[in-house]
Amino acid sequence: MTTYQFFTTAWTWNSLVLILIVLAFVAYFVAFGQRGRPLYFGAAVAVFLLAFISPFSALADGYLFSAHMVQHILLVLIVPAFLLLSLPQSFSLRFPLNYLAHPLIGWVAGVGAMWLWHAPTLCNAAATSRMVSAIQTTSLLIMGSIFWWQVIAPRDEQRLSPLAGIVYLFTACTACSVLGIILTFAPVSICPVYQHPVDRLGMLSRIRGQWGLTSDRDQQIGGLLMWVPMCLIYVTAILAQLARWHSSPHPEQSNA
Amino acid sequence: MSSSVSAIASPEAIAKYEPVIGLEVHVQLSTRTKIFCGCPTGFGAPPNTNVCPVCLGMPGALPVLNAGLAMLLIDRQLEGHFFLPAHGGSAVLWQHIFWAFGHPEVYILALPAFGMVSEIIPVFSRKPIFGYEFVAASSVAIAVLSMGVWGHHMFTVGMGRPLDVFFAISSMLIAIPTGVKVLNWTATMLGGRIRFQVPMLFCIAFLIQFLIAGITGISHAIVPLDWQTKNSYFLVAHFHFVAVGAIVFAVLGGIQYWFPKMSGRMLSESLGKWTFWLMVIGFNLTFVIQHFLGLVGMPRRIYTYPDLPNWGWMNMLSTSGVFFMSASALVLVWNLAVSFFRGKIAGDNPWDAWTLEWATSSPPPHENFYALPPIRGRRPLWDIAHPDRPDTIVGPNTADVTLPDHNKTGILAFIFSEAGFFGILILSYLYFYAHPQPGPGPHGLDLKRTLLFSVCLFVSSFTFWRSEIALRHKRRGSMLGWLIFTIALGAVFLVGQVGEYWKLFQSGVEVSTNLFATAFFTLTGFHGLHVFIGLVALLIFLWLAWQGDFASGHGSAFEAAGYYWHFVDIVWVFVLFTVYILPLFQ
Repeated sequence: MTTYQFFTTAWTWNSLVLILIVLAFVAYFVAFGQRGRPLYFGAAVAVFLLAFISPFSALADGYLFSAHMVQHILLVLIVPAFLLLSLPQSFSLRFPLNYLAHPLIGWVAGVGAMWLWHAPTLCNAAATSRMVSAIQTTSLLIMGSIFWWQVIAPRDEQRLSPLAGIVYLFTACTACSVLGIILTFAPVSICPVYQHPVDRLGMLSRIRGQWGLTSDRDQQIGGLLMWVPMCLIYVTAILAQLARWHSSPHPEQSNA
Repeated sequence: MSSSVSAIASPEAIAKYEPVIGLEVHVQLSTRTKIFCGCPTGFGAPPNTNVCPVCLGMPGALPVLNAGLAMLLIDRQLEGHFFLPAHGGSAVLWQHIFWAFGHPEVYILALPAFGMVSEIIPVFSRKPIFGYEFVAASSVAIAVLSMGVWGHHMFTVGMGRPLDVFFAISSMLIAIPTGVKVLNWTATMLGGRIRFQVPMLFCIAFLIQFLIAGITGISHAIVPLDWQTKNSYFLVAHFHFVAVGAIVFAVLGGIQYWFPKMSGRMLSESLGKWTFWLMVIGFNLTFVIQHFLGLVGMPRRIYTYPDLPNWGWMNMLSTSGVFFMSASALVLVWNLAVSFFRGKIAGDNPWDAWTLEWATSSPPPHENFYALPPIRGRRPLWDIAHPDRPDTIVGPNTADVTLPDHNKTGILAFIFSEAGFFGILILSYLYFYAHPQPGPGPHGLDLKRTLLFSVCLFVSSFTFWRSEIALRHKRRGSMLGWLIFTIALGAVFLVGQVGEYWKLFQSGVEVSTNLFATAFFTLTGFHGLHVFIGLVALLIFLWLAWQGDFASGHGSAFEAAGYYWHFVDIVWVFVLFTVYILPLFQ
């Protein structure tokens, strides 16, 4: 398969994912109707689809650790952010979910989502078993949402004050960068499945040869993705916090 | 004008409400005052966003260097192996640690200079700074980004293509916030009624030279170009344009601008112009030509060079520029000395400036102000002078002020920096753990014994917390009891660690035995040292509490000591996992 053929044909139109998407849309409109912000919801769904039906998904499915990392970042940081932004202003967490709206829990969820699923055993399991992979996807979306709740919850009083938000994001960024640094420089494979992929699509020789992605280099790129571009997402959020700080007339009182 | 604020005219309040960008300048100038720059603005109005990144950057970056230096010292003095490839160590690791510090350090130097320029340009353009929010936010972006770009100093090390590519892109990104700043400073001047006095002249030269420094800087983010120019005079020229052309010029402008506030007398404007022009000519003569010297191949860090075509006159030109710079420095020193005794009396506000330091006398009295002037925007003195068209109100209502607690702020900054220190030690340990060497390894450690002592340390966090509660409820006996219990538990942990060291020494394992031993003793030793220091602090508190009424006045200090104690325990969680538990998974 040539690279061009691969990127045109490797779209997996998984019917289960599509049905889930339709159900999600229906549920969204039933729950929020006119009050919601469907554009953001559409964006969340679009990014989710990109992660699961595009050729990236085929690569993440046993071939490339770095493609898996792209999926991971999209699921923890991008999709949940859009989901929270799509909520109507009036949305609140009800008992017992409101216990999740504690900054410490949010921070641990956000950082834990990165660290936990990169323990070699779990990473391997998720890459080989459909079941574990589904659990992983769900947990990443949930943990990402809990993390972002502190920063982009629907109403201002549900969020951290801008300064606390900056500390929250900066420390989370550091904690994830450390993992990125470890993955980048680790001499051993963190997720050994990707060292010897099962070549279902006949792409392995092209990936290793023409693309030049040896398994060492692949893991390095995965680590770097977590280290550098992911930090940019946090930096963007930090700048948004600053903008909020500058625009709020009484920053001291906005801390809920 | 505003009686509500005059009641809180303490120096901290002033530092907090200083609505300028370059507070650090003000703080360092007013040495007679007691302003404490513990990132005070982080708790109040939205001013001063050039200071906070510096305050964040220093405790963020310097501990990385400290950890590296500690490791280097252990290599040199105790025959450790961290950076010695012959024994499995890594010289490249040293470079990573050094540049993880070294790159943010450039911004630690540059951001205060940016702050001075952001002060001077608006005043001498007689316009408020253009896009304040963008100037402030770009400083934060620079500070955070600077932590993830150090690899561009190491393209010639041979890190491999993936690392090169990522660091090239992230380094280029830094040009965006820096470019935003340059454009904002320029836009501030645009349409202003510019006064070409000495501070402003230095800032204009700063802008031009910093732009050149930035352009040559970006060229170093392009990996193949960097390979050619890294070890040449092109690089020397680049970083001198940053360090001298930008930073030193901004500082010289700052001296001319704030000297009247420090001394009460103006610097001579005509001597200042001599300083400026001699400096501009000398600096550019010295360093512009070095770009070309580097491009024709002259390497840096050499004491002599072969007689290659054009090298001779280029170096001569460069050297001649130095004489102009020296002359400039002499004129400045002469100017400072003469003006200090015989300069024109400055008055409170010689530049018609807007920020708070110009509202008090020159030099300022001990506490800066007897009563704070009213502060409602970023230019309080403008508001006073032009009550008919004041600036928009920013920041919280000045009446409700919460001062940061010195004890807790100080200890939190310390903890922040210590976390960086231990972070580097743990990462280095992990790196060497992944490259096992012959000789003793982590499997020889006694996990069960260590777990037992670890529990003591963890329980001591709980007992300290109980002691704090007792203090809050003013139950002296209970507080003393829990405190003694805490100290005892900490001591047991230390005794346990000494026992472990003794056993290792008995079996012949020392710092110099192999890389594992070096990394193990460094990491656990520094942690042990921190426990010991914590114990000393707790003993002092015990003694104070024993003496008498402790609750009044020392509560926040006790809480701050608690932060430290809990921090030391948390560090041990990570050390315990890395050193003792991780090997179980293999």
